[in-house]
Amino acid sequence: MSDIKLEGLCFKYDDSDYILDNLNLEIKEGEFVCFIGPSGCGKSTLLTLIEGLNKPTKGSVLIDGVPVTGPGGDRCVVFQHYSLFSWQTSKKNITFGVKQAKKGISSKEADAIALNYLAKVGLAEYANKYPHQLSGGMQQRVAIARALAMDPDILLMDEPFGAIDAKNRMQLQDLVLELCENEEKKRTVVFITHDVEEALYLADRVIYMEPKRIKEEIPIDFGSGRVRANLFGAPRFLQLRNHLITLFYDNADENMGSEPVYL
Amino acid sequence: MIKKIFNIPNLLFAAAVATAFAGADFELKFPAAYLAALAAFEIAFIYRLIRAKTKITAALDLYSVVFGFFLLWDLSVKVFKVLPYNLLPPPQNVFHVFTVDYADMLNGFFQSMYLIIVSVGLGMGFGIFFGLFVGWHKKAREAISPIINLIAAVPALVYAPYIVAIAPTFRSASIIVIFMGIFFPTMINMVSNVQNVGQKLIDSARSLNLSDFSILIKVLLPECAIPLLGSLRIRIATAFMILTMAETIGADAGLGYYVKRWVAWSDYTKTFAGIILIAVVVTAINALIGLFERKALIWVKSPN
Repeated sequence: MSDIKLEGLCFKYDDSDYILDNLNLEIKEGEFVCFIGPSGCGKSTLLTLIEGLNKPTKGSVLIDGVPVTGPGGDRCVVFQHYSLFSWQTSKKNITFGVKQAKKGISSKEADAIALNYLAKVGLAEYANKYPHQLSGGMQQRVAIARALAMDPDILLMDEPFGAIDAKNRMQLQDLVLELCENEEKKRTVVFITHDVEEALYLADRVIYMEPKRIKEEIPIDFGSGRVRANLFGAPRFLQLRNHLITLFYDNADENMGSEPVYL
Repeated sequence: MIKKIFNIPNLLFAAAVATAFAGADFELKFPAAYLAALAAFEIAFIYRLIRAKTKITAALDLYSVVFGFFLLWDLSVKVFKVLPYNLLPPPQNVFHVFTVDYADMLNGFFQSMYLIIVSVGLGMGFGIFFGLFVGWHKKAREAISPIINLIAAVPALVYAPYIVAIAPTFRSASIIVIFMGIFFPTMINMVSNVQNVGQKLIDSARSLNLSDFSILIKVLLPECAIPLLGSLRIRIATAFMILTMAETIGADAGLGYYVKRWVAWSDYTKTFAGIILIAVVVTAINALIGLFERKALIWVKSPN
């Protein structure tokens, strides 16, 4: 069980304007939802609220009907940067997370889980490397492996591939889809991005945010087969892509005082 | 091959050995210890030559300087007579001291090392521990940091004589002074490291479901303290400086005391030997720390 419900969710820091204003949304168990929007629209803040790192100013985040009060074992975050511990090897980083998620697990079992997930992300032979010995893409794979090894019901990803080159990004996107869909249990994924194609490729539903609120929800209906080569030329895909890009432009227009903006 | 035998370091080595046997119009000790030291350098030099595949320039330059230095030293005493022999003793007499005074020197070495290890350990341990909590707790940081900065601005050497005067024993005085000299800079570094830890790291630690206390111990402590081990070299050098200074005020043993005592007796042969001993000890410690850094702290190089 892992559905997420946002009820009249508002958030602001002590003396700032509202960053999020009255968000209402339901995310079903097993759904892959992408939040997309211009920088500063509050999408990352929303993620910290779902995770419980910040507390709502008004309204609430409900998981299976229970309000979130802090980080919990049912949720895991993959950040864009800086989430591995630099003094631990990749394997240690993962076992650290596993032991945190499953109290009382033996080191042997935790090691086995860690190695299993490192193999799944294709880094079996990098188990004893420190983060600084790995490339950015590899570090991010370790972070994903750690999140999945902790076996959360809900996976929260905050622009996890934002700093990764295009080729590696595609591989990692496929990896995330594969790992989230082929496992025994279907995880709920909340994925933040500012990359239109990434959102369309990954999500069951794309949610476009403008500053402070949700502007539009777009269900993705390409059918079940998500094959990159077919998808990127499909009329429906291009239509949605153009639609989302128009939303970005409209937003840019508003911000620039209705002058047309050429990017 | 010829280049490997007839090169400048080897010629200087031969000249230095020959000069060691030259006579003088004052008492010369038999140069056994001095020759042993020269031989040790020569062996190290030959080892570098054999091991080196192509470039031996660095080794040639280094050992030219080493043997040139000893040769020049010996010559300026015996031949040029730059200073009276009791003010500038010849190397063979200086190295002879090691064979006579080794018990005294070893004792001094252990005394000094004991004080250094205890006080650097305490200073860094407490500095890291308090720095961690003070850096983490905003109120404590704002209340305590300015005071710590003020106290740390005074070099420990300044109040060393006062502490030596009021402390019950010299040992306790040295430990207090070195502790002060190590504790404050370590704590200031630690506070600023903790303060500068990225929110992202704390967020990811919290998202792993860690309690505040666990974050402090399991995440902030290693994240902030491990880079401080990189400053161990400087801290030990500082400790040595403070200790030898303190030992010249009121000790009854130790490396600094050894030098100070023989200066007081105008026995510059032993003074020279004591200085060489300190140089060797500090260099050896630095080499050990370097080894430790390379082996154990490989991730310090890029703490993300």
